Amino acid sequence: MVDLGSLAFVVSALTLPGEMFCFFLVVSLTVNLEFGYAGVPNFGKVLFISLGAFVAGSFAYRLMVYLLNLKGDIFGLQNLFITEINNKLAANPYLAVELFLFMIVVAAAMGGFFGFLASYPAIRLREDYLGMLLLAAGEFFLIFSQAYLPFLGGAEGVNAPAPVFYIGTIVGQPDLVVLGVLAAAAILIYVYSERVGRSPLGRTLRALRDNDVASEAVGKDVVALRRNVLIVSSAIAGIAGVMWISFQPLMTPGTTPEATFNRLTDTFIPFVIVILGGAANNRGVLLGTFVYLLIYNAFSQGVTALGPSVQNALSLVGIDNLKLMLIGGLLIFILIRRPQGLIPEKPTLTMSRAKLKEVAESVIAKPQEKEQQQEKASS
Amino acid sequence: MLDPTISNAIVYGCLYAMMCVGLTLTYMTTKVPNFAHANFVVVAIFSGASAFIFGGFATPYLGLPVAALAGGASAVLLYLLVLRPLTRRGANLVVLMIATLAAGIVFDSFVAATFFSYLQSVNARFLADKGYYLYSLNQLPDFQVFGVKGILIIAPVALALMTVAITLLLRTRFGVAMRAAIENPNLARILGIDVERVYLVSWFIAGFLAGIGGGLYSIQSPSPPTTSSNIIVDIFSGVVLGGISSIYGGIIGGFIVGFSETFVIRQLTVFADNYWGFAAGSQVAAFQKGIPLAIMIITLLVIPKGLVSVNWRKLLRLG
Repeated sequence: MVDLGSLAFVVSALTLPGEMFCFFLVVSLTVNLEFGYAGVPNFGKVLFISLGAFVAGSFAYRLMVYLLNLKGDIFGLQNLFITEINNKLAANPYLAVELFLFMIVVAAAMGGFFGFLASYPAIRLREDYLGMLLLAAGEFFLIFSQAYLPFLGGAEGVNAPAPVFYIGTIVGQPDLVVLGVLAAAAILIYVYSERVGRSPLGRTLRALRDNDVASEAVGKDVVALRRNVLIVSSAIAGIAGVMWISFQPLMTPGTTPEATFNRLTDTFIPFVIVILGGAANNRGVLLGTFVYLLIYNAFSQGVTALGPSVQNALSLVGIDNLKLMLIGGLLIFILIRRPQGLIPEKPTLTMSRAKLKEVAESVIAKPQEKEQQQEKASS
Repeated sequence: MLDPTISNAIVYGCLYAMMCVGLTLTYMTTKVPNFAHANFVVVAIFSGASAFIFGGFATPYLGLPVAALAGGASAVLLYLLVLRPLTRRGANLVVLMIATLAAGIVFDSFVAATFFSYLQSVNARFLADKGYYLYSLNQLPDFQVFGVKGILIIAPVALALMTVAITLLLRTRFGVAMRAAIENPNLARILGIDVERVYLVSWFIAGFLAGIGGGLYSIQSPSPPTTSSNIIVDIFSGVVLGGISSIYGGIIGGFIVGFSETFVIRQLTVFADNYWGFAAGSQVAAFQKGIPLAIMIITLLVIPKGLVSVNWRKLLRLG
């Protein structure tokens, strides 16, 4: 017999790490697609994640306010409004599902569209221009969404509706449903990245990464490939933003580490994960996400375990600051000592070995047959 | 008396010019797009401010040498500990970019941990008595010369001195060696130039200038540890506008970006306030960083090699 009480405890303890795992896995997979496979440095990942989350979240919130015919200041009365909205979602699961799908579509569209738009000026130039442009665009958007009050109500932020959570309340296990939906999304996107990686397209992207001049010479449209990779992975990054607000619905814009999305957690950490696990390698990303979250949580647990006196001493410098120094240093160390990551990239075997052998034999056999035929003809 | 908008715009123009020239210099010599340049500025801001507050200096301007040296030291550290080992391993451009990004985050969190958290919480009472903090030197009264704010004199003078110093430096033996190393590092090596040393010195100069820019920035504007997010847009924009291949281009690009950001947003704010009424201006001000971003986008679309690539003589004759 499984002890249901302890099972529930284990589930509740693993919910948040599980949700974080799904989010970081998806974001890192998109970084892997861009940087690992195609060599495109998207240093504006936070732009696409926050665009997806903020636009879909605030749009859904406004839409629900309109549908429920709520009157008043949408930011001043947001606590009242969001309770009203979430009650409605809990009572009407069809509406909740529709709202969730709507948010996903909006986020993917925003991500994809801005993936095209933000990279357009620099996509034909060298990678460093693209990196600078995307990084600058990301910082602009974060600063803008905090300063422009009609968007999210300023630094205080606004709650996004949480359709998945309130679908879960109908089942009675809201956290589990959220985790399940995020896990399903992560698995889907993993399978998609794996298929892209193994496909001819994946091999083209690697060729483009290793030598773009040569790939151009064999007729690959390098600019179009780079652009399409950016569009697709930015659309997925937008969806990742909706995944994040599904379990952390409060959206607080800004550039500080306390803000919902910032350059550290959403642009930098995915690069750490990809390089730690091994670039151009989806299994590596899976392992990298796991190891990163393990280090991250072990650090917090370790500090707690050292007792309150150490904790107080460390809080003078800020535990999060130490964590970031450690992670930044770790990335530099990996880049210098083990640039291939934990699981190095492997050449993809396109067909099974037996099939390859068969093809090879048929190719080798043919000239011999020809020779035999020629001998017959001459004799 | 100069209009405060224009004087602010001039100050910001000078500051960003100093920050941009360093980034251009390191890009030209080592060919590394340095994403940690804004973080040198942050290290410098807090080192200079700490020297001023805890060293008991009379004015924050005396913290400038400390800020400059801290900026230079952080640039040298980045080059020696991160970039040189990586380039020796033959790392590609994207990997170098990521490494500088990581180094920038280490610098930022180092500053947040030591200066911002530790020094300020240990000296909380001392700072509370003084009434200002490491990130709010801009609230101190600035000295005045004939009714002109000190920063409005110091910043252009510093920029002018810097331009002269760079011009002179490029004419010394070392400057020739530097130009040779930029043109063709392998050939320079054959001729007996210590290219590594040239690179190291150029990184130090870049950090040093970013440090002066940072020290002055903290006098002009509030500067929390997240300042790097704010200034990085302007720095990249200025560098791209100048065309990453010329030091003077970096100076001009940085100045134009800093000046137009401050000036244009002020004009737009006033316009919005007059046109749409109260509080419209503060909403328009949210687009402030959109101006450097727009300059960068237009530059990339129209003249991707920057201002220095434009044939002005031909352009003016046509017009």
